[in-house]
Amino acid sequence: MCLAIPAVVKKINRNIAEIESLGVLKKIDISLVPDVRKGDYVIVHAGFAIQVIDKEEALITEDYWKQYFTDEAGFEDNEEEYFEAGDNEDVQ
Amino acid sequence: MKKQVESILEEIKDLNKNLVFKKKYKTLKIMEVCGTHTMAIAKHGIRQLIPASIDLISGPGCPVCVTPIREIDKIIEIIKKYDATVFTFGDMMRVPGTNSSLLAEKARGKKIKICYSPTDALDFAESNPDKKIIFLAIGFETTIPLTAVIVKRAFEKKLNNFFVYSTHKTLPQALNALLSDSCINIGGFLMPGHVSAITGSSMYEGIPQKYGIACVISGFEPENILLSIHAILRQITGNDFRVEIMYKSVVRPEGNPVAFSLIFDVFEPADSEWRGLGLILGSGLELKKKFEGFDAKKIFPVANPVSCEPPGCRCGDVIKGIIKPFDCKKFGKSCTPENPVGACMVSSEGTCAAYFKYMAGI
Repeated sequence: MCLAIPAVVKKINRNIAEIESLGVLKKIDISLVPDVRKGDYVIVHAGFAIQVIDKEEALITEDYWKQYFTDEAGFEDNEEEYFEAGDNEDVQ
Repeated sequence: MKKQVESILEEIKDLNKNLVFKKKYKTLKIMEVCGTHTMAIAKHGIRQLIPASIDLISGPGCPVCVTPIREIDKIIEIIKKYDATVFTFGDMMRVPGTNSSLLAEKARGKKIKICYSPTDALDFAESNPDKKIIFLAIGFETTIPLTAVIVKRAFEKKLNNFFVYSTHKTLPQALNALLSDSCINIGGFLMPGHVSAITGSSMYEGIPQKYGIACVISGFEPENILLSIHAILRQITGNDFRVEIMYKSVVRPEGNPVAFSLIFDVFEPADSEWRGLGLILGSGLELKKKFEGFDAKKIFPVANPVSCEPPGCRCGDVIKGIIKPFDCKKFGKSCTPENPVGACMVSSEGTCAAYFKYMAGI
């Protein structure tokens, strides 16, 4: 029920935004995220954006990885891979 | 990423070994209260990856599963008695009522439509002014603001053919009710990511202090779930119980204030019955007096139906985390996703459906 997917905002027209998610274009309602801008990533639930994804805050989770699980040999190399995974968070 | 996952699993094993050695617990029960977590944990085999002394149990995280059978019976009574079109999310269609389901009623010719978004119901009402439209609203804090938006819109547009039947429920009250049940011994909560995106973390603040339980708001990727389990073990190790956010890209401490405040513009708390948990004070939401003209419960009154759960169904105990689906005699035999007896097997995010799909034979 609470499934929600990330998408990027392509166009905004009043309370409706055109978004792209996994290559699919769709119109959604952005009334719940009034500060959203073109180019932002949002989390979409049942036709509504419910939150703007904060890329800087995503780094804090990355810090957790760094702090506790840094693999000296491999982490830096895999950084990009982590963010790609992060961008697709909770796509089921 | 593989190496990081391996190292986090090693850390989880070490922390757990230490905690068992120090007799902090024999078995640590960590409850997830989000159907999407339930599915992710089953799909990625996380139970099989972590030590056996960490027991991941599912709680009341699936709105369809916690909706009591009486609500299903009531909405069926409404569509039998009144000429109205009901819109709802797909998961509600197959939930068995006492004698019927929405799907069975649709097959008999009743007007029931599945919607992707609540706005579908409102748009249909606007373009069909001669028809009465009821949106069967279900869901926790993630979904409630969406219903609030369309009720406000219907009010502004002065629609007189659009109504809402609210089965909305709020999660924190249910968690408190669950924790006051002495037979459930929970050591940690994986808190729901998208409910928390709306509510923020302060909704759970009382729980760690009052009950000494680690609370971690988790994302849905398997790596994020493992990080959250690790964070729970660290809290227990340090006796430092608090609400920690491990899904920071989406969940802010303050949540989404615009969406959260909308809930209480439109709804007010009411007592609500939960399958498995019974009546929980203030855990439901009904439309405020200002919006009572849209309240399907008032506009389409029906007598209280005589409802009874299917005999032998143990969904209530599954929802409370007291038993695993495997412990129910009906699981996988007379109760399957094709022919569900209880709500936990119906919803695609129900605990029994997740176990059936991903854990059969384990």
